[in-house]
Amino acid sequence: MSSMYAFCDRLGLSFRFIMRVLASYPSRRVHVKQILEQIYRLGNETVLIILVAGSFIGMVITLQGFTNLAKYGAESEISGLTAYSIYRELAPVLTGILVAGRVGSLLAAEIGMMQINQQFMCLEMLGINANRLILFPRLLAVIVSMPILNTLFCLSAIMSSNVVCTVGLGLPEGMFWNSLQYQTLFMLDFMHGLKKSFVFGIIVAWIALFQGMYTSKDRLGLAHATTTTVVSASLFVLAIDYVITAISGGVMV
Amino acid sequence: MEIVRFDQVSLNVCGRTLMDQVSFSMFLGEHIGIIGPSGAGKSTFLKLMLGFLKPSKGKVYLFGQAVSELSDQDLEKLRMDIGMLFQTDALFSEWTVEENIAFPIRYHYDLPEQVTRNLVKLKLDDVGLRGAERLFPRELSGGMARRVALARAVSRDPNFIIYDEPFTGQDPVTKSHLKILMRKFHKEKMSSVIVSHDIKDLSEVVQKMVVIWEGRVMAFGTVDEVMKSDNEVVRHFIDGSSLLTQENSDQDLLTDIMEGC
Repeated sequence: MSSMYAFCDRLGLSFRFIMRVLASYPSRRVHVKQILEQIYRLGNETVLIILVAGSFIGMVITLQGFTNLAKYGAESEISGLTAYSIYRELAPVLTGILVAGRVGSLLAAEIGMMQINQQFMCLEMLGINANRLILFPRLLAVIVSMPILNTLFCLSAIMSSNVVCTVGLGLPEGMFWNSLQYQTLFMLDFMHGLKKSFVFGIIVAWIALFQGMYTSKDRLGLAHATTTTVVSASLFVLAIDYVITAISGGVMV
Repeated sequence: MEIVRFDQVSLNVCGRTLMDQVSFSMFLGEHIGIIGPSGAGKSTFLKLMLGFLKPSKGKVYLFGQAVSELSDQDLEKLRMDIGMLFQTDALFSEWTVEENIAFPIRYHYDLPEQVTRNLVKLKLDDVGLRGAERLFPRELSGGMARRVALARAVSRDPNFIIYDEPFTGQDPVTKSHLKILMRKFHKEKMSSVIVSHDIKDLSEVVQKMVVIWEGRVMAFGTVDEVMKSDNEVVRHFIDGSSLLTQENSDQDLLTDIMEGC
């Protein structure tokens, strides 16, 4: 019962925390500069991982799909099938998990370290709202970066799929793009994934900042905060993915 | 003018009493030392004073305003009149010394860049670190980092400064340098609160002392009055002797084992 109480207490604390951060919108040029810097820092550092992961996923899905479709003589549908699974599920979910691992752990450690070094209290004592200068820019940076990274994941997956199809499997270039065009609806399938990635951005940033901010100041505090961030954010991404898919009508939409 | 007033302040967290009916006043121009052993409640005292914690009972007044009743914005404005030197220095490692000191100036005032730079040089001169502008905190020794943190704390010329454990982990030369700087700031009409557990160093730079023990004020008065106090706890603290005798220490251990702690 006490662990249930502690969980509810922590949940309430995290809601109050995110409300406080969201209320700390930028009010000066220095805050806007911070937001742009953080988007560059957090987004830019994850681009390479996303491109590499996207291209491998694209290639694997193409090979797997081709083997199965070939049994029914439907090889020509391969690009549509790949794009459909990438757009709707794999890109947002894998981008979410990769960002949780790369950016989430970085943010939790960075904020936790600042908390341990009394830098938040220091900023408050200098008459500077730390939520506005430190937390809000990082929250917004992850939320903005996530759909961009999701788009890059999709692009690299489709391009690598194209290479495997045309160079590796010998399918005509026209067949690839034709199937892609008719099997997937850009506004529906791609935007569905984009909406998911936006939500995942909020989840990852929220968990990372909260874990960093409320890290315990002992020897294991920071290690615990980063681990909890990666594990919780990844699990939440998977769980929320199911909820969004169910709410939006799943594959029938 | 009264700067700080604790009016019967108590703080309870999760059933534990961290502050117990503390009353205390401090006036403009005074230099007061808050002293007590580790875990006595010195940091809690500071956090209550600055509005980072709200008392469960009683009120804390800062510059005549009840801290717990102020909005975040008002509290931000109030804290701008206060400088603080942190135990950890709290310097931003990715910024140079100049950027660390200039940041609060740039944030709050729209001054020409050259004026800001000159102000930083002036503050660095004050703490004896001329020419250190381009260095990063990782390139500084512990004593230098503390002086940079002190330069930042006084960068906006506050009339009240708080030193949190300024002597902890510092060598005798740095300690002596810090004391000289503190006395210099005192002469510039800067009131101060110095939190420390080092009674010898503290007694050299303050006029009055507050002895805190388990969240209670055990003694408050001039340095001489506190030094001559016949309160048992204060005497133990001044003499550096343990309150535990061998017998009651063993008894405590036995009780802990029996209770499964």
